[in-house]
Amino acid sequence: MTIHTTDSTLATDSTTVVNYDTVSATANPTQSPASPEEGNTMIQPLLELKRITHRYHQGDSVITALDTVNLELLPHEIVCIMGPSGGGKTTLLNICGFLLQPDHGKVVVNGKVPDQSSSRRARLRNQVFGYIRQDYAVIDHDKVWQNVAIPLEYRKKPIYGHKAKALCSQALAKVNLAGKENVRVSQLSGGQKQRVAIARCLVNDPSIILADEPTAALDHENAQEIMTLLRDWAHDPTQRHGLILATHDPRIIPYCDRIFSLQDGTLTQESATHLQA
Amino acid sequence: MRQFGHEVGNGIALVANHFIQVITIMMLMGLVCFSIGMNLPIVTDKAIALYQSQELRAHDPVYFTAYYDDTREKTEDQASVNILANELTKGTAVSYISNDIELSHKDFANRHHVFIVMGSKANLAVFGIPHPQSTKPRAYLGSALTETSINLPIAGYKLTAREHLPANASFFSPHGFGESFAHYVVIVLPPSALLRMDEAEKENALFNTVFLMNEPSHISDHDLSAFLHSCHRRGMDFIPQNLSVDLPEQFRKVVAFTISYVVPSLALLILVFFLFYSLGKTLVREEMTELRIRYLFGATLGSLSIRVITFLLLSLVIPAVLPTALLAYWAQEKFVIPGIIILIFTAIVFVLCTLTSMRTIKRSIS
Ligand SMILES: Nc1ncnc2c1ncn2[C@@H]1O[C@H](COP(=O)(O)OP(=O)(O)OP(=O)(O)O)[C@@H](O)[C@H]1O
Ligand SMILES: [Mg+2]
Repeated sequence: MTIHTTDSTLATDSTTVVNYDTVSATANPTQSPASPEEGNTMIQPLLELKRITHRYHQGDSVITALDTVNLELLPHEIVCIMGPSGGGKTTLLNICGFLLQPDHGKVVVNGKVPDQSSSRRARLRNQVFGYIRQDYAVIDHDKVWQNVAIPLEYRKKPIYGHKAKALCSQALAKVNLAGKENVRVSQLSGGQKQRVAIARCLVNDPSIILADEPTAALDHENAQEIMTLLRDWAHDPTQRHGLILATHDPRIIPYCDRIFSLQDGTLTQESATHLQA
Repeated sequence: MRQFGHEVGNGIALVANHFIQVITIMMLMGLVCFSIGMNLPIVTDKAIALYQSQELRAHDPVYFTAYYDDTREKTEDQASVNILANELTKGTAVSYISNDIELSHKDFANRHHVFIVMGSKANLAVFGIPHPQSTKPRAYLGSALTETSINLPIAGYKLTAREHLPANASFFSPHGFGESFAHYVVIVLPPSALLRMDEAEKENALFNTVFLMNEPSHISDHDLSAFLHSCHRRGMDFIPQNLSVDLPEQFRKVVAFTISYVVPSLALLILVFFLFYSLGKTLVREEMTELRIRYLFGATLGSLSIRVITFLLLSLVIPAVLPTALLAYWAQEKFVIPGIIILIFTAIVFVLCTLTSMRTIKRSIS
């Protein structure tokens, strides 16, 4: 595995080659839980977007979905991107998660700029990121554990069968779905389905979860439960975890550390909230 | 490699979710193959026969339609047989026997249809017999016959058919247009053998007589009149017909047949093609959720395409090809051409479905 550091300024920051297999899976116990305003020069961000610009071409018209966007995600941080529909939130998350290559700018993961080869990006999606979406969250006709096991199949050393099922059980226990391993997903409620999606993220122990409107289809109670789960995961002091959320949902605000608004491709920080519920 | 096996295994597992579609495709393709297989050979045989008849038509041919008068006393008048044998020897007549052969000997030619052609080079050429330069007695097996040799004791000859005719060999009859030789045993005899045939066989030969009127030595008016009178005495009233005039009529019949049978078959085929294609797209769309999730969690487009290709091979290609192959294998070679058509169709649909699904995945992800 090779990681090309194309950014010269980065090369001086950190000269060691980071192996994501280990970075994503192990915590850094020496690092204390950070809050964003205390000396973040000392703390290496999990993810940085540097001057990201992305345009969509539709026939003759050009839509600038993102215009020179900069963003940092620190460990233990929950960043929320709000904004009107069509503001570019999904585009931003897709670029963060290596699903979309930006026209301009760099995505830096743990201080490194990974190359954009398709196998490299697939590895990152598998090891560093977890994705939660409002749509196409789960495979209805499969069992719960089969849904959760998918990331395990694409590990560098794939895990199948009993071993996979055992790991899925652990992940399901974390989202209060213990014992539901063999239930068909079609028999679950909306809130339970979203928790299956979270368990699927957790099973591979990613360091960054990207959640696109995770609560949009949920009632108040379920939304709170999901957000509590995600907050506890991100704020776990023993791990280097971070969460980026895109949402319209004001119920989410109390759970977030920093809130940005994304409108017409421009990202602006709203305010720092510390409304720890 | 392990990943490859895993993706293939999962592709197989997907098929179980689409059992009904797989059965539907099987039945549809079987039906199409059967319908085309039944109709197409009839048309191609007739078209080939019509094409072959061009050679005959150049000779200004006269053939006969017959009325059988059962009320009259019949005789076994040999004058017509002698005239026919004489004209066959001169190369100014064409005839064959294709029914009523060796009635006394039930298992003759293993009970296959038999086609006997007697006479001249012209005669052999008209019916597309191999080596028409040689009028030596011999026999051939139709392309569909599985025997390696059949003994044929006939008219004092002890012939053995070993050589198979080409698959497209067929004969042209002025009465019933044409048929493939595929299921026939074809026997070549000299004209003199006609005299040693039994009466039923002779009658058949008389009925199938075509006189070639453009030859310098063509049958004289006197002989023609004697021929007709002799046939009359045998109980058959012959009315001369000019093949050059009749042929356009027969051609129209072939066209009409083509329109009434083959066009609907082809329309069905095209309909099934679109159904097949949309079914393929539906199948892939139903799996799209899963494919996208897999992509999100680390699958590459390459590994997804292995899965999609396995899935489409099992749910589209095999159900389409299997009934076709079985029909072609068990039934007859006439299902081979529709089978090839279906094979080409399936290949096109398979490639289209694979490409569109990969494009859809790519698009839905970024
Ligand atoms: N694949 C695409 N092709 C062309 N234009 C696109 C594509 N995806 C997004 N866009 C456009 O880019 C802009 C940003 O879209 P994006 O989906 O990022 O917005 P969003 O903030 O997530 O909206 P929503 O809140 O409705 O999900 C929109 O104007 C959209 O029409
Ligand atoms: Mg969106």
